[in-house]
Amino acid sequence: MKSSTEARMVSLVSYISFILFGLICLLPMLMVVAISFTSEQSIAENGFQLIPKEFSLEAYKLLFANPGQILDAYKTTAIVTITGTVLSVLFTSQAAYVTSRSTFRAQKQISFMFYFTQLFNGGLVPTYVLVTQYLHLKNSLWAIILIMMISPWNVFLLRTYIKGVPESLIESAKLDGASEFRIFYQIVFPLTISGIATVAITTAIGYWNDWYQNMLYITDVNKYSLQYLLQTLLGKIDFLKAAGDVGMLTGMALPEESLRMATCVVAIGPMAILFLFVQKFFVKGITVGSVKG
Amino acid sequence: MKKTKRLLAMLMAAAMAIGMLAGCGGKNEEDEAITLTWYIMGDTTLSDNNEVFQKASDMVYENLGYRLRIMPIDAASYNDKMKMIIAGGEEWDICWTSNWCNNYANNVTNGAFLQLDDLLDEVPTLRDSIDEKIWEGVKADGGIYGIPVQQIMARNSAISMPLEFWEKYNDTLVDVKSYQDMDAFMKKFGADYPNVARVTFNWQNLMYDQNIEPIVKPAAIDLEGPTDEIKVYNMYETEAFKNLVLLRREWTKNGYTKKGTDGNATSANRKPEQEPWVIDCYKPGYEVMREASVKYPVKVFTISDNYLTNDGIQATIHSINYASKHPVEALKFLEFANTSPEFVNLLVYGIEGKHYNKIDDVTVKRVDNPGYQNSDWCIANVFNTYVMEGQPADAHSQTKAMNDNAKTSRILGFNLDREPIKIQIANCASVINEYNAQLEEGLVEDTEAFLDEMNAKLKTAGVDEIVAEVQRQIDEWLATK
Repeated sequence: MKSSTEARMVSLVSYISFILFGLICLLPMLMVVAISFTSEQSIAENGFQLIPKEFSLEAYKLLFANPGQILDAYKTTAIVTITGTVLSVLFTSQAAYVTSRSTFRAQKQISFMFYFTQLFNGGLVPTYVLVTQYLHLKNSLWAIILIMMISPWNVFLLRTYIKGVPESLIESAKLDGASEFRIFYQIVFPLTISGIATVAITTAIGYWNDWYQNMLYITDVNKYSLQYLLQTLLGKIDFLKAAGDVGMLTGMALPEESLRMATCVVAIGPMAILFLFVQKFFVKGITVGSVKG
Repeated sequence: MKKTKRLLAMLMAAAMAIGMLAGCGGKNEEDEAITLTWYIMGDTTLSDNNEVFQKASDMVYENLGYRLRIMPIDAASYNDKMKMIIAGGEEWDICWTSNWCNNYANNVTNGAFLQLDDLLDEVPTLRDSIDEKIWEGVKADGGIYGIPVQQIMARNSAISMPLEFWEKYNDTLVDVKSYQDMDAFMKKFGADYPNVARVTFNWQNLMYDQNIEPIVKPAAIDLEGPTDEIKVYNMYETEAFKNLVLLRREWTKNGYTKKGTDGNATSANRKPEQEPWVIDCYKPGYEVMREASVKYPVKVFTISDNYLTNDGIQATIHSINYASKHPVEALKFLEFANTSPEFVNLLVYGIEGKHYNKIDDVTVKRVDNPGYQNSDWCIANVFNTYVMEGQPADAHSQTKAMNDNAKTSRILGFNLDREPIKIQIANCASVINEYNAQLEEGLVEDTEAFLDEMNAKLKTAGVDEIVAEVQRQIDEWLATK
């Protein structure tokens, strides 16, 4: 009897603390969404509120004033994210597989070449010159995809995963006559899928959030990524305010705070939904790595 | 095995298809005429950019016989992007530059721009349309490396406030000739509206009423004084600065102003008494621009004389690439841009009837959410543009007169080489950032001790080395004059 009350108390406390923790995580997100729907007047008078006093779509109207642009940006970001992530996973995992095989003679040297680029790289200007003058990728989405494709860190992460696959498994497959490609795709790949999913999601988030490469290499507004377009729209308002060049605004009031939050919603929305679906891989990926000894 | 191969083949095909899509639309048909590439600050997200730029190119073709490729870059990324374009050795002919974005003097030092002194004879109209004083002010490394955009170049300290209060407290305001003179007004206003006013006087940038001309904070010189002997000092150690912050503290302490900064409030819905009253630079027509954002009548009055400084002159310049294949054509284009009203109005206001409407011969009104617009100061000679509705019809001639009659700064034409002291400048900037806001808002009880503390930290950060180096460079510059 006593022990059951105690158990109930324990679970009650843990429920409450987890609910509180959940709220702490969730509230800021809800707040962002709520503010994005609040009228600027109401923000000025009442501050930020979880339930908007005055509902307003002004921020979204401004953001979607030129709907084609936002859609183009979504499209660009989707193309870059999907192509980039697929290619990245493909090449990262292959590189990881090759450098993990102890039977590969140049394993050490190639690993070193990856490692070296993590410590030293050409720097911004040489990279820019290479991409624009030699690869002629200015204003091409390939510039963004290629630059962010291989991260040595991810190669090493996956290499550790792949090393967890018993060497004997690979050897026996070889004895059965499987080619290296087949061993990789039919044995190693499925066995390390959680690690690969981890790499995939971090890469995808990297591509999704990128604005800097886009800023550097893209000049055509149709090829602006979502993040860069949003940044440009926000920056425009900041700049106009700072420069006092208000004549350009043709007298309209700018929903500044709500616009900021609306950009947040537009930017993270799709990724947050995607995350819900791949989350299970993500969590598994993190734990699997730690348990293997 | 087959499956993997097919998968790979498909991936490659997909990759190539995307590559082709991305590569599309780059190449135009070969054009016989020379094409000049011109980078300007502009909003890339506007829908009618291409239409207007095509028209501009046509106009240049008709008048000069060559084509123009205008490349706008958004204000927020102009500095980063242009830096890479210049450093990356890309092909361009003309770019917009200034002392606050895509730094003119640094670019000159790095050899990015073409020296124009000898070439100016090719463009006599342009050369003669700009005052000798202004050519002096655009000099860097002893030469002219850019064509300044004519606009308001004279700088002053001015106070902007709601007209309502200017009228109500007029008797305390008419004689205001410095920040300190505002005291009588603040006492009355603070008693009538306790704890509401947002007074964010950004006096550290504009200290013309204090006879201080900052060169690189904290190094400054006296605005007025002998022209053959100029003394550099730390502006935060001056009596004038100390008086300012002590006075500011008084206002906060006595409840004349609201405590704390108001960074989050937006200008759209503030009541007049909450509107921050800023120290700013006055130019004719300024009230109209300010009223457009605050929505009630505004009064702006100057509290200092007008001065022509490097700062004002180098605020907007067009420079030519040192590696440009068509330098003379580029310069002739700049002459055209700066002397043709049609050209500059096209690039500022867009197409008549579509992006703006004429009210009378010189006044225009933009349509709501125009598909094209740009700031006049980043295109070309502002005096050739239309004025906006509400601005006086003679706003440009007033401005020009202001420029012409302005006193010249003692260091007009002097450009500081920041390289030897850049670490100290950065260190001092972070100290200033740390203390600035609290001084500006008068939040610290013992302001004097706080200021001493700041100056002590500035000493550690290397203010003495900055002052010494600036002094050395100024002396050297004086010797060459």
